[in-house]
Amino acid sequence: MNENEMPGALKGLRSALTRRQLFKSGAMLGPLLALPVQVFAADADDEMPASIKSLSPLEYRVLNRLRVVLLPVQNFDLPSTTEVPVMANLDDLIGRLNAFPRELLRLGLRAFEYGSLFSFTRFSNKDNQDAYKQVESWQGGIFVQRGLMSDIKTLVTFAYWRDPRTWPLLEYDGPVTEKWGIKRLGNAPLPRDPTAYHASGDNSVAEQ
Amino acid sequence: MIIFKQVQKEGVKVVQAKDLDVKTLNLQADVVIVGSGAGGSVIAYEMAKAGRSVIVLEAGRYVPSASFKEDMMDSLKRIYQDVGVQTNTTGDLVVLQGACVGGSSVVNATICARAPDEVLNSWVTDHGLTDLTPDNLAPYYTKIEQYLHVHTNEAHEINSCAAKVVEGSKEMGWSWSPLSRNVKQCALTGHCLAGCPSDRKQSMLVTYLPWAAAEGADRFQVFSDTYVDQVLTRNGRAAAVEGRVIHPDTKEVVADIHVDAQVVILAAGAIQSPMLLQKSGLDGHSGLVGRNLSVNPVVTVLAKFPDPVYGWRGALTGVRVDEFDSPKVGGYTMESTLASPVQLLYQGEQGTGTDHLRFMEEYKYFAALVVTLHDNGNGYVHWDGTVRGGDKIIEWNLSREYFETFKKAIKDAARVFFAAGAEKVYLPTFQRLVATSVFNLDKTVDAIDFGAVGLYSLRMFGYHPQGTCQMGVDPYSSVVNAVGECHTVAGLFVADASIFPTDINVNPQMTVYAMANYIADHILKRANSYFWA
Repeated sequence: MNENEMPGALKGLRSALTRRQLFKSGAMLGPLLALPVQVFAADADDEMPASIKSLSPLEYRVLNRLRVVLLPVQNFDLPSTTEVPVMANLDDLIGRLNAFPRELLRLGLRAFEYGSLFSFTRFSNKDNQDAYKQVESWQGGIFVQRGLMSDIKTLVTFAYWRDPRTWPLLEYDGPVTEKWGIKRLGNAPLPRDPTAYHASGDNSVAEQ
Repeated sequence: MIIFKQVQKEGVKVVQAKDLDVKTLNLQADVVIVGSGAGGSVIAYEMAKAGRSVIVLEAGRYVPSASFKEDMMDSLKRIYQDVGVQTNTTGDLVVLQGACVGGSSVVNATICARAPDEVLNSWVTDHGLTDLTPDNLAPYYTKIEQYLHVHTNEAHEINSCAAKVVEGSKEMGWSWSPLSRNVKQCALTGHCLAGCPSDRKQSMLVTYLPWAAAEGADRFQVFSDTYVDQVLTRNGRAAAVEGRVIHPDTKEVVADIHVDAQVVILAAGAIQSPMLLQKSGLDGHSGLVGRNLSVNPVVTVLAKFPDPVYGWRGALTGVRVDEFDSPKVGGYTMESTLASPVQLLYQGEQGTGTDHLRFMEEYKYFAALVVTLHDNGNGYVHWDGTVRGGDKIIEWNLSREYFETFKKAIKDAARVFFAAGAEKVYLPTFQRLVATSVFNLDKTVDAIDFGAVGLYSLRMFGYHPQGTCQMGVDPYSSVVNAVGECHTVAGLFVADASIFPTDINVNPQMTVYAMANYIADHILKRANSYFWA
C-alpha cells in the first residue's frame, strides 16, 4: 500500500508516531546537552513558600524568575506580579493539568533551566539581562525550544492577566451581567407541541 | 384528564458526588446515557417524553448557570475538559471541550449551521447512509432551530469587531454573511465561552435537560462527577455500564456505580466515546474506533487598527467570511471573534517583557478572525494503559498540506483586515511574525517555519473533534451502523459528533442535535426490539 492508498487515519497515525519520537528526542536534547551544567552547577534550591503545592523547587525557581523577566510591570500602570499572586495562580493552574501536559511542562522547565550549555549558569541564577536573552534565544530557536518557550510564557502571562486588577490598563470590562443589571431568563419553557392544549404564559404544558 | 408538566424555573436536579452517602450505587433504567452534552441531552429528552426511564451519567461537574462568573479562568477550572489544556501528543494543538452537565453546549460560541447538502449527499453515496439525505434531516434541523431559538444575527448583534470584517470583506469583494446562533434575547455581554449566566445561550443546561426532567419526573435522573469506565454486554447486547463517582475537588472515589439498562447510549464526545469502547473491549471488526479524528484546527488572526475598536464588546460571534468555504477554493471558514484578554495569550507569540506589555496595551485596538480549516480524519484517539489507570492519547499533527492551506487562509484573513484599514496583523505562529502592510504580507506569512514535521509552527486549537466512531453500513469500515448502533453490540448506540463519517465543514452542534434526535426516533420506532422488560 503506498502513501496515496493509505486511509487518512493510518497516514496520520504513522506520521504522528514519528513526530512523537522526534519530539521526545528533541525535548530530552536540552537536558542531555546540559548534563555537564547540572554536574558543575550549584544544585541548592531556595526554599519555596509552604503554600506552593504542585510545583517542584526547580519549577518554582524557573517560573519565579520568568515572572520578573516576562512581566516588568513597574513602568506601567499595572499591579505588581506579587500583588497579583502570579506564583500562587501558576501553582493552582499547573496542579490541575492532566498527566501528559504536566510531564511536558516538567521536562520543558528542566530543559530551560539547564539549557544554557556554554554559560554554565542555570537560568534561575541569571541576571535580568541574561535571562531575557535566554528567553529570546529559545523563542527564536529550534521548533521544540520555541514551542516550549511559547507555552511556558503563555502560562506565566495567563497567571497575571487573569486577574481583574490588570484589566483597567486594557479598558477591558470583565464581568458585566450583574453590573448591567441583566435579568436571568431561567430555563426555557417546554417546546410547544401543536397537538396539545397549552397553558399560556408560563413554563408548563398541559396534555389531555 | 389534563396533565401539567412544569419545567423547573432554574437549574437541573442533579445528583452530585457531594450528595452521596453510599459506597455503591446499583441502578436500573430503560436507557442509560453517558454524557449530558448535545447528543446525550436530546436523546434523554426524547426518551423521557416517550415514557422511558432514563439515567444520564456525566463525568463533569454540575455548575448551574446562576453561578457562572464571566471569568475565563474560573470557567476553565470548573467547566472545561482538563482546564482547557487537553492537548495532542506534541502539545501544539489544544482540543477544547466542555466537561460539565450540558457539555460543550455550555461553553461554545453558539454558532449554528446545518451540514451542507454536499456533505450529507457524500454520506449517502460514499458511506451508504441512504436515510441521511438533506430532505430527511431537514425536519430535524427545523425542529432544533425552533426549540433552541436559532436565529440569524441582526444588526445590533454585529459588534465592532464584526463590522471591521464586514468592511474588509466588502472592500475585497468577498462573500460574507451574518452568523446564526442559538441565543434568546442576547444580552451582548460577549462572555459566551465562559458560560452564559443569564440563560440566553440556549445550551442543554437550560433547555433539553430541564425538559427531560419535566417529562420524565421521577423516571429521570442525572448524575454528575460520574466517570463511566466500561460498557458491559451480555450475549452480544449492551447490558450495563459501570464506573465511579469521583469528588471533583478532592479526587476521592466517593462511590462505585453500576447501571443496568436495556439501551446504552454513548454521547461523551468524539474524544471520550471511542475510548470508552476501547476500554470495554468493544472495538468491533473495523479497527476504526478512535481513528478518523478530525479536529477542525483553528488559528486566530489578530489585527490592530489605528483607532480603538473595543472588539470584545457585544455579541461574541458576528459574521463569517464564507468566500472560501468550499474545498475547491480553500476549505476554510473565517468568523469574527475577539474574546477576553487571556485568550490573546494563546493566539501567537506575544513578545517578552516590555514588548509583551505593549502588545497587551493594544487590546482595545484589536479585531480578530478565527480561521477554521476543515481537516479530514488524520487523527487517532486512544486509551493507553489499564481501564482505571491509563491515559488518553490524542494523535493529530499538522500535515504539510494543511499547513499550506492555513498559510493561504491567514493571508486572506489579513487581507480582509488591511482592506478595512488595519495597521498591522499578528500571525498565529510560535514565531514573532507581524505583517505591517499588504505589501509585506506574503513574505511575512511565507516566513512561518514548517520545520521538519510541522511541529510548533502554528498555534492551533481544535474546537470540533469528530469522526472517531464513524457511521457506515459496512462493519469492516465503520464503527456504528446507519442508525448509530454499534455493528457488533446490539442496543449500544453512539450519538455524538464521533459518528460523522467525514468532517461536516461547519460548526457541528446542529448536526449532533439532529442526528441524536434521528437516532432516538429509530429506537422508539423499534421499541419492541430494544425494550423487552
